[in-house]
Amino acid sequence: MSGAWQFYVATLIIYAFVYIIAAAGLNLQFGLTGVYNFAFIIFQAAGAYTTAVFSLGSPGAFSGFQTYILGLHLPFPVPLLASAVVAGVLGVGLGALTVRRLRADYLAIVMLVISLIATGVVTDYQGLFNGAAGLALIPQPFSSLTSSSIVYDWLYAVAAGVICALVLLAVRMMNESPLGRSLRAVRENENAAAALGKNVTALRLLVFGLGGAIAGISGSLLASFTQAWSPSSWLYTETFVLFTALIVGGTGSNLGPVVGAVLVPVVLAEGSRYLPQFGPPTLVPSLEWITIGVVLLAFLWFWPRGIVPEPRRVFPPASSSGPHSPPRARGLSVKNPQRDRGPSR
Amino acid sequence: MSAGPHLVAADAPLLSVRGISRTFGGVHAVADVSFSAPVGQITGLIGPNGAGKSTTLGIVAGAITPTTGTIVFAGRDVTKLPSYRRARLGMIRTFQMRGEFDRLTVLENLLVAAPGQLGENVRNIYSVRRTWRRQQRELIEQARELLDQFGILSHENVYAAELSGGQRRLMEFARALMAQPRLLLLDEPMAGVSPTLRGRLGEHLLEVADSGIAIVLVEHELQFVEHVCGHVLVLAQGTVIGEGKMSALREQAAVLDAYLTG
Repeated sequence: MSGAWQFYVATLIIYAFVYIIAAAGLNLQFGLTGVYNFAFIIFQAAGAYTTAVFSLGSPGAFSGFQTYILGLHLPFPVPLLASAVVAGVLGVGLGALTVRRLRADYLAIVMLVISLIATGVVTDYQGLFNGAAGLALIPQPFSSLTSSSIVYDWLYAVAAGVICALVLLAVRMMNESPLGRSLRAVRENENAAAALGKNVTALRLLVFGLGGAIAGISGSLLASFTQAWSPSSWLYTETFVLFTALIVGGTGSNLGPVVGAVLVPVVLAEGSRYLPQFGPPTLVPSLEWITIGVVLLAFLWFWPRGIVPEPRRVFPPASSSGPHSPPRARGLSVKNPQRDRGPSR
Repeated sequence: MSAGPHLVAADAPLLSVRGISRTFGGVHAVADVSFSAPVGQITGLIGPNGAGKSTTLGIVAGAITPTTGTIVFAGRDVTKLPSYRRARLGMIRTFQMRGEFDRLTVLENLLVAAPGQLGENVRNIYSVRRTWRRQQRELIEQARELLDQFGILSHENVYAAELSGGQRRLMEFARALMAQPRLLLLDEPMAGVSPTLRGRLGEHLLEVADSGIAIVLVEHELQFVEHVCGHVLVLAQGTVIGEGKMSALREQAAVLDAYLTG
C-alpha cells in the first residue's frame, strides 16, 4: 500500500473512531434518555477548542497569526482530560438552563438555536478562538515518538481505538446497569418515572454532562489529529449527521452507534467522493447531504429501530431453587388466588 | 422541615389532605377538598366525569401543584415536595392512562420501581459491580414473586406495550408494590380489567391494606368501591358533596343527583 493510501486509510479509521465516540455520547442522551440535544456538536467543539488552548502555548509565539484565550502548553493527557471536563461542565450548565422547563420538541428547538448562537459567537469574536479562520498548528501528542508521519498516523489510530473501546465499555456498563434502566424509564414515561422516585431532571442533567464529556473527548482527538479547528468544522448540520448515524445504527443499543458511525459519516459520506462528476459542479457534493437526508427519512419510516435495535433485556432464571425472600413491601403478605390462571385478554 | 424518620401517632392518619384547591384558567377543578387516609384502610374517591378525582390524586402525588391547601404525610408537610421526593417517602401512585414504560419488559418495569438500588449511582456502576449485581439478583426474584402473585409471571420478558389493558393494570399494581409503598394512590385500577379478575384484584387490595398500607383509589365501578372501600368521598364539580360508607352514600340525594345529572 502506498504512503498516500496508508495515510488515507489511517485517517478514515481515526475519523471512524471519533465518530463512534461521539455517537456513543449522543446515544447516552438521545438513545437511552430520549433527550433531543440538537446542539450536540458544540460539545465536540468545546473539547476541540479546549485541547487547542491547553496545548498551543502562548498566542504571542505565532506573531499575531492567530489569537485565542488561555494559551497553555500542557502535556498529553491533560488537554484531553480538560476537554472532557470542560465539555461535561458545559453540558451540565446548558442542561440546567433548559431541561428543567423544556421537554422534547421545545428542548430540541432551543438546543438548535443555542448551536447556531454558539457558532455565531465563536465566529464573530476573534479574540476567543481566532474567529472564522479558527485555530491551526495544534500540537499532536507524542509527535516526537517517530519521524514518519505514516507511522504516527497508525499509532494515533491505535490510541484512538483504545480510547474508543474504553468509552464504549463505560457506556455499555452504564446502559446495562440499574441507572441505564432508569434512564430508559425516563425516556419512555417521565411522569411514571418521577412517580416511582426518579429525579428526572437530575438524570437528564447527568446525561447532558456525561454525553457532553464524551463528545469533548471526540473533539479533542479530532483537533489533535487534524491540528486545526474552526467554526466550519462544527456547523449544526454535523449534529444531524450524528443523529442519522445513531438512527441508522440503532438507538439505545450498544452496537448501534458503532454500526451507524461507520456507515453514515464514513462509508456513506466518503463514498460520495467516488461518484463521477456530472451536472453542475456543486451537484455531487450536495448529493452527500441529500443521501444522508434520504437515508434518515427511510430509516425513520421503515426501520425506526435501526440496523442493531435495542435488545430486549432478558434476565436468566434463578440458579437456586431455594425459597425466595418475600417482597419487601412493608409488611406485605399477598397471597395469590389466581396463580396459574393468568389474566384474561 | 426536619430530617429523619417522621413517626405518626397511632390514631393519626398517614395522609391528611386539608383544603386543597386547584384552578385552571379560572375553572375550579378542585375546590377546598379535605380528607384523610389511615393505615390499613382503603379510601375511595368517586364522582362523575370531570368531578376532579384524578386532579385530586395528582395533587396528592405531587404531579399537580395545588393553588391552596396542605398535604401532610406521616406527620410531614409535603405540599411543596416534587413527586419524586414524595415517592421516595412511600407515596406511590398509578395512572389512569399510560403509566407503563412501553419499551421495557414487564420485569424491568418492576425493577425500575425498587428503591435504594446501588447500581443507580454512577460511581457504584464501576466500583462495586458485584455488589449491585447481587442486589439486582435479589430484586429480580422479588419482582418475579410479585408477578407470580398477579398471574403474569409468564409475561416477564414481554414489553409492557405488548400487554393487554388488564395485564397492564396488574403490572402497574405489582410495580407499585415493588416500590415499597406506605401509601398507594390508585387511579381507576379496574379500568380494562376483566370481570373475572376484578374480584381477585379486590382481594389483593384488601390484603395489601391489611398489611399496613394506606390506599386511596379513584374508581367508577361502584360495586367494587362498596366492596373494598371503608370510607368514600363523593366529588362533583371539584367539591366534596358527601362522604362516609358507600351504602349510606347511596341514599343521599345530592350524590344521586350528581351521578344522574353528571
